[in-house]
Amino acid sequence: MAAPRKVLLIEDSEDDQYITTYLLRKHWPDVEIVTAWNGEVALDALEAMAGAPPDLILLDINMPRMNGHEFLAEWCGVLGNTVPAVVMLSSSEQTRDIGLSAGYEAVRQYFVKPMRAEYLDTIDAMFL
Amino acid sequence: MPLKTRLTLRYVGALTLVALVLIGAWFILQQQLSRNTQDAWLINTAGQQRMLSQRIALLSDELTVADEADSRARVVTALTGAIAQMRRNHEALTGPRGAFARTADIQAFYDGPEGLDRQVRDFVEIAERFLAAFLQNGASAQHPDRLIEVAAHELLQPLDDMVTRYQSDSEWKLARFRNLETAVVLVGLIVLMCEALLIFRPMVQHIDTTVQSIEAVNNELREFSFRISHDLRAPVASATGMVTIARDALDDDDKASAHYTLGRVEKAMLGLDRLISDIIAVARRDESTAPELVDLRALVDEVLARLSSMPGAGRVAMNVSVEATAPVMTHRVELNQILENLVSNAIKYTAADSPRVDIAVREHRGVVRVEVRDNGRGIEPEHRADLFGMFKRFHRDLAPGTGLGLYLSRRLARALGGDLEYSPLARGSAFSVTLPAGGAA
Repeated sequence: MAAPRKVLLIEDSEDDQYITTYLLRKHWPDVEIVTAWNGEVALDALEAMAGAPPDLILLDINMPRMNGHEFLAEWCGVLGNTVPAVVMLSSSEQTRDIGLSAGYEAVRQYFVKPMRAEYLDTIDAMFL
Repeated sequence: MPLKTRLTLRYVGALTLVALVLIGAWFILQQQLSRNTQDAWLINTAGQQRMLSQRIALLSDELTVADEADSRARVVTALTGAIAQMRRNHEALTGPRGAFARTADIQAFYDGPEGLDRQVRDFVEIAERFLAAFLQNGASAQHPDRLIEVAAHELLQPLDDMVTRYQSDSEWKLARFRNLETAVVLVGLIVLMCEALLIFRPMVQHIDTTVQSIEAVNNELREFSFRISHDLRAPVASATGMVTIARDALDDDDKASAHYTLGRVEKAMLGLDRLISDIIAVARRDESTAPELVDLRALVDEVLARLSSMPGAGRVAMNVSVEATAPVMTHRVELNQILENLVSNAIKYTAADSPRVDIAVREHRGVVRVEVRDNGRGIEPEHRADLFGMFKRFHRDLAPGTGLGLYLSRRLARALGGDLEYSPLARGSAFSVTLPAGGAA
């Protein structure tokens, strides 16, 4: 598998959803993108997709209701998932945010927003 | 009253009380010391009287047997001195100087036909008469039997008793002083205990709560700066990303995408501009214009006209009812800002199907109330406590916002002498601004 076929994008900002979706489609023309407004919605979506799970989760941190850290605590901590790979995509450069997310096995990368084409090249390397 | 003044007043009060107790103790001690000096004089003088009575008798007897002229002269001098001394002492003891120690008991002992006063005076008189007779008649004078008899059997005992009385009176005063000192120390301890309970403990609690509230404000500020840095940064980062996309689309000759993307950039920048304006408004609330008479109907109409271009405003049914038509003396700019915020919120969060916003202006008992209702999702009970907090956003999925609108509006309403309140509706929310009809504070 050289590229993810299905991506779950967890992001509350419409603009960032737009940017990321645009760049993902350009980079991987056949990719299927599922978007969730926050961690809570994402957990429901993952449950619904249990039969055909995504290959990659792109996760923002600062979100209402359930933020990125809370999502990780539930999805990786409580439910014990190590796949699919989670890539953080947040506007925060705080070491606390970076350190907290690095503690989970599933989390493979931490990128600072906005999404760029170079980030996707790095993700490609993960899927080689 | 500022904390510093209050603390100082309380501490000064507490220290003054302790100082008063100390000064009181000092006075009592000084008084007792001067009494001790007086008592010492008194006991000494009373003892002298006892001694003098015997000395006078002895010298008188000696005088009758003295045969040499010079020894006789020496005895006369001594006897004259002793008699004068005894008279002076007696006058001092019974006069004003000894008055302080004259208790009823001692007074009774002096007074009366058989009293000590009479006895001493009689004795001194007998002694003087004997001396005068002796000086006149020489050795042929009558022997001082009577004088020796009185000194030995009548006067010695009462004079001795008197010394005992003065001494026991002094001891009784000393015992009273001891009790008084104990009482002063007890009073001092009670004062300290009361101060600990009524002054120091409340002050400690007051300082503690003050420090805690300062810490709370500090935390709020830290949270505020953290939120601000995130909320300012996020749209800039998005816009940067979108500009890259627009350039990319232009490279691909995809003008439609570029156009659409730049539209989003513009919207993001407008949102950022709004956020910056709100932050500035939060930061400088002190500068205010002069109050003026504001026609509420006209103001509501202006707000509605300005908001009519807002996305989604066209499909919302607007109902305005103005019952209070008298103009209100208030700050126009601030009230305009509050109303614009409430009405734009109502438009943003009203129901998706048959959306409706009601604006009502009423006056009741000197309070003007402007109520803005929508028929949207409402505020969940768990969020109501935070509704007017900084950067609190509960329905990000419904509409964009800065999270400062309600916080700012309530602050403005309170600055106008009124308030901003929320009340849940069966369907939707109602926000009402109250203002004093008589004018702004």
